Amino acid sequence: MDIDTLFNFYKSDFIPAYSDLVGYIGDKPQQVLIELENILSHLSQYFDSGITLQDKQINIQKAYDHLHRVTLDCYKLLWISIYNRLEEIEKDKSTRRLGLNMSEAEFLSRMQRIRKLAQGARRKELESVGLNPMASLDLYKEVVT
Amino acid sequence: MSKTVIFERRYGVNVNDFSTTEEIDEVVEKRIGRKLGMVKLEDHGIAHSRGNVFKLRKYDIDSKLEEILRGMK
Repeated sequence: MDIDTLFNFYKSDFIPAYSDLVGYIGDKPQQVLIELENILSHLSQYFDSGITLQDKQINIQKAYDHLHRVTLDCYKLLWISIYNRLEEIEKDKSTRRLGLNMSEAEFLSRMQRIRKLAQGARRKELESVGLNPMASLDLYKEVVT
Repeated sequence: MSKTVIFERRYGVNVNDFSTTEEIDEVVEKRIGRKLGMVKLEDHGIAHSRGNVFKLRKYDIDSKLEEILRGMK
């Protein structure tokens, strides 16, 4: 693990995830800010000249792990936010029938689809714990597309 | 799959032109006409005042996700 890899991931994966979430909800989620704070703490240790090379490596890896986590969290929070709004429509019969630019049947079918996709993404994430933490990233993105 | 699923389409920008969260925030703030506030998105109702706030935070998101997925038909 090196600092370039971490910042490449920040630019190529975290920034798009963050922009999707903040661009959708129009606010900054506390949960994301706390993870970013954790990342900064570990990075400051990485640049501390008073610690050993081994400890620097441990800290850069921890920062990378937090960055992975917060990237996935952005998509999970985005999905939860979208799902909550759709669920309100689903529960309101008149909006469901008259307030959409698609038929009620199509709306319900799409709701079922995003539920299945979310379940698949979550399953993949749990199967990949400790092996490939980002394996479920594209699946989570597909859920909110 | 494109890099973003909502942001570029909604805001008419290319995410490759952005390098920091600050730049993203500026675009969103300009569109919505106000400064972004900090929000605590709906979680599992766990108070953050006790124990390790970071581990609880993680638990909150996954718990909420699991709660919704469990409730699905």
